[in-house]
Amino acid sequence: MTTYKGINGFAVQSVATDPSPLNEGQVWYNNATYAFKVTTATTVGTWASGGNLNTARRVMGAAGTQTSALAFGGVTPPDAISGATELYNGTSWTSNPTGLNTARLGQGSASAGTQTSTLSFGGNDGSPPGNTGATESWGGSTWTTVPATLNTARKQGGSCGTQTAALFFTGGSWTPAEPGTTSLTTATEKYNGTSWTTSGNMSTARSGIGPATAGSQTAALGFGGYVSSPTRTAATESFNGTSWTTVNSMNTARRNLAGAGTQTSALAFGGLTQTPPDVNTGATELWNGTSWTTNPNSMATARSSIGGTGTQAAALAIGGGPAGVSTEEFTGPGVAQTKTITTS
Amino acid sequence: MAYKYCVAENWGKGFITHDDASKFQVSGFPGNVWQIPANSQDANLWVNKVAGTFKTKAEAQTIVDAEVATAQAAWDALTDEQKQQPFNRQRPTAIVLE
Repeated sequence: MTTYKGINGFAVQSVATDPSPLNEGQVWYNNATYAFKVTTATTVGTWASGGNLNTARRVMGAAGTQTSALAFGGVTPPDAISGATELYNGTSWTSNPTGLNTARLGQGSASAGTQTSTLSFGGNDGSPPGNTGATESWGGSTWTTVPATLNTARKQGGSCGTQTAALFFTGGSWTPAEPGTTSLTTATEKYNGTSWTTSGNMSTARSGIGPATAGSQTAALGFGGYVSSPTRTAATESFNGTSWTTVNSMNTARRNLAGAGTQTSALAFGGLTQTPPDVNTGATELWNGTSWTTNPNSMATARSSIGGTGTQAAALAIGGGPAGVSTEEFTGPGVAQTKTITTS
Repeated sequence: MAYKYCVAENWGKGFITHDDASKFQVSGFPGNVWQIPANSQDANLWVNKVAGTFKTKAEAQTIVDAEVATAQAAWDALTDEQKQQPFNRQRPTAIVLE
């Protein structure tokens, strides 16, 4: 009879805890759970449930990774603008005792920052003149308002970068004097840890755009968004630190979507679709640096105005409308994962 | 594709795993209604795992309709000024299960 040892020259290891890091093809016996296990590579990306937020919210800021993330601000039910901040450890969310100094929705985030070092900038605080240019810095336990403010106050733009090198691009404005109207900007701004300066404008002004959240000031990607009523776009633009270039569009036009990943390996998920109009979607697309491919597995809960962070291989979808509290975790194709060997 | 429906509360981490998602698509709707493929043993095992209660399509639609109606009533009760708040907020729309 053929045996594992006969093929490989060594027996299956018996261990009390699963090995780390995982290597594809690796087989072991976990003597604590009495299970044979194997490491395989995923062939398609999949969404799994993560821990639920303590405070339901949408149109929030987010930063960090799938196992160490931060969510802040947004709109909480029924319709309150919040500064609440929560921390995620890969399993559950914990409410921070203090929140943003300026409660706001639709703010930009230094989303490539960490759970202990990020920024919140722009957004709408609900008071005249509506949009704010205020910038706050997160030190791991509290938010501190910094002197610098955006040159163009706006909400629901795209953002990425770190606490000392952030990028904010396009977005919309709203003023109480003109309720229900939105004017859009193509403005792009860079933060250097001290001040905001303008850079090359996007080609298409929009709000509710999806950013490659792990991007940088010199390599960013923005996709989708609201262009004008009733147009939602699938257009994608790439930034090289100086100027924006239009590249291939997404397969599904939508607004208020979320993103993750980098300029050459991004993820787009959720949002409100163009057709049918403004229906929540869980559709997920992968960007390989050239084109978008629709992932076979969608988010379990279709939603929009989600907090997004992480990478294409390990992304996080946080809250959003209408569900509000649920988190989903994306594992991209080609990622090593543990499977239990069964007889079926 | 034919679907089945169940009601189950999403407790968070572990409710739907990557292993589950690699075998079948779960789609969630208001009222803790979940849609799964009709002819999937893996999906049936998932419903058992999450202590879900199977519902007919009509029963599931009634639950979803009630949730949407509640959300619509809440929206209708807002003042015109509140409806114009900068949330890009729209009246919740009806959801028809497939």
